[in-house]
Amino acid sequence: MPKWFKRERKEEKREEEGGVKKEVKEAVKGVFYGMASHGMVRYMLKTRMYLEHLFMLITLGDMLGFPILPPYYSLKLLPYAIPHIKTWKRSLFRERDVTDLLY
Amino acid sequence: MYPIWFVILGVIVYGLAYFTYAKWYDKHVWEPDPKKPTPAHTYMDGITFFPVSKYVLYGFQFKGIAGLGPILGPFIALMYGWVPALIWILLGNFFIGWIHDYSSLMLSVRNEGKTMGPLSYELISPRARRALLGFLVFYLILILAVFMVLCSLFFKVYPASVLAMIFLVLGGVVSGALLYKAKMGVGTSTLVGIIIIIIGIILGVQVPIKHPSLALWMVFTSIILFIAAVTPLMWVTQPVVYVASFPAIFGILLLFIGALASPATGVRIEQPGYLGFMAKAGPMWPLLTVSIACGAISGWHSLISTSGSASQLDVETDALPVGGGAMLTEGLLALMSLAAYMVLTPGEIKELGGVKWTCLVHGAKKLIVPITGGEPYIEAFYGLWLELYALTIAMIVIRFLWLTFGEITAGVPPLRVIIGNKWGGSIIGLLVAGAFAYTGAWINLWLLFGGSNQLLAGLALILVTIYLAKVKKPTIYTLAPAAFMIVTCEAALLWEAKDFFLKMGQLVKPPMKAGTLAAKALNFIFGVVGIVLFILGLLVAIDAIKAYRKAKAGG
Repeated sequence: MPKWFKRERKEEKREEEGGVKKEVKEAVKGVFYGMASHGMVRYMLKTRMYLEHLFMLITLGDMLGFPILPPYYSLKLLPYAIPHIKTWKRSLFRERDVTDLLY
Repeated sequence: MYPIWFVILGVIVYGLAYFTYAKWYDKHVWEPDPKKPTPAHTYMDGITFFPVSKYVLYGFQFKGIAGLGPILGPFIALMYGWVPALIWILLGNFFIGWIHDYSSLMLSVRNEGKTMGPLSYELISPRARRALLGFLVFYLILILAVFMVLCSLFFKVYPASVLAMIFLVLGGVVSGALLYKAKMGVGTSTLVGIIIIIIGIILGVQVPIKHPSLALWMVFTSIILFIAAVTPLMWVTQPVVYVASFPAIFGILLLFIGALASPATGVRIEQPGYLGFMAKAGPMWPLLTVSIACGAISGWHSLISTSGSASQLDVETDALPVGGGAMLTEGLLALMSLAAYMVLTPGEIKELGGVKWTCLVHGAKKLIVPITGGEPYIEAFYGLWLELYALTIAMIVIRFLWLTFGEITAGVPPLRVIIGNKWGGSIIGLLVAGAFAYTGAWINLWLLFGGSNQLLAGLALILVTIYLAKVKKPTIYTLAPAAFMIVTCEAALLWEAKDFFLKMGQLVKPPMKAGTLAAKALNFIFGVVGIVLFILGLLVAIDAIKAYRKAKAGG
């Protein structure tokens, strides 16, 4: 077997080992993060969502029939609200009950 | 025989379950398609719906499902012997447990990430949803009662764990304040929380707080739960649950190491393998099945799978390692807990005052102390370990309970004003659960909780079966376990209700005096709760059978 071929195989093997090591590291890290912190992260995101929904209700309440802010201010705040309209609508229209609130 | 064999047997059986039956079922029944977008992608909002790696989701699912059920449930093996418990944990997981968790997850993923309520409404009937909601209320009260009493009992039996627990709550609150208020990094605030917990364990051993009255410990537990229920989630509940997850993981790892090292430490299984079909609590079937609870199958898992993991599954092919894998790992945890009970000799059990959940701490100590040393610290740590599981679940349940009260009283405004808010709902929830917990009929209460929990699993399996019938897929693999679980749990609920009615006032033990009017009244209420759960389960089952027939006929 030529030397260059042996060297290439060795490098390939090392890369494969490195890939497996990386995968195992990712897995251990992921499982630990999932067990310890993921729930907390989800909670923080949900808190932000409720605050953003409040903001949407204040600025775009007219869409639901609540004229909360004068249209002048609503229009001024519109650029901040537009990116969230789709998510907001989907969240409001989605059928939910108490079993959704569990986790 | 060494405890290591339980773990090795578990690894072999669950490995077989995962790589043969589960892979085959996954491929031939659900046929997951990695190219099919999951709700995490189609409804991505970065909050509820967002894809995460299968490893993260596996950890999240495992943490959500691995509560006190698999840890304490195997105590029942002390009544019937470890062989029946071992067989049920292995076979229950092999044929029912993982398929329930995995299928619930897939059911939600294939139905836009919907949870149990909307799914039962769509797949069965509007009545099924209402019955499920009613069922949930009783189920939550029972969980709360069971975990309140466990927590109080552990405080009473392990004085060293009292300060440790206070410091754990404090550590959580401080960690949360540093994170949210002081805007400190997650790593630093977590480290501060963990240091406070360690200080608490050391102080707890040095300054044990003793009090013989269970009532006092129940009041203490109720105060913590009430504060957790009425304060914003981010102040107490969430950070406490977060910092508690670190000792929880550490405790599991230590137990695992203790079981693996048993041939070196010389700790052996000392309990008899079989003690007979009848025990003080009742016959092995159905009681063993419902008592072991989450160790083999649990309805709680379907709630976690549908309301938590389903909205974050990246690709459909991840469902098996997340749903099935997490459940099989929990089976291993149940086997380790079984081993921890079984290493105690009959003499030691007698010394500890008979068959009790607290035996686990002594078993864990026996497994771990030869490796680590520091017996009082290990005892304090495992006392805290059990308490933190009980308390953190109770913290989540009490919040969920008042939210459910709010939902069921939505149509009755005067009632909603009283119990449909966090103050009234929490007080009522704690009072009812506290009254249940105070009776001393703990084992019967656990069996009632186990019965309702497993019944919920049976109902989730039937939901899956109806969906599979609708999409013309094989249903026998979920229908047979569903039928078995529903029949077993209905039988267990009836058995418990019968016990409460026939032994009126006798099931209560100290602190309440058996035979008093209050004891009789509470026994009667327990009996009624058992009957109500039985009827609600039956209602859902009847509607489900109708829906299944209709689905099979192509309706």
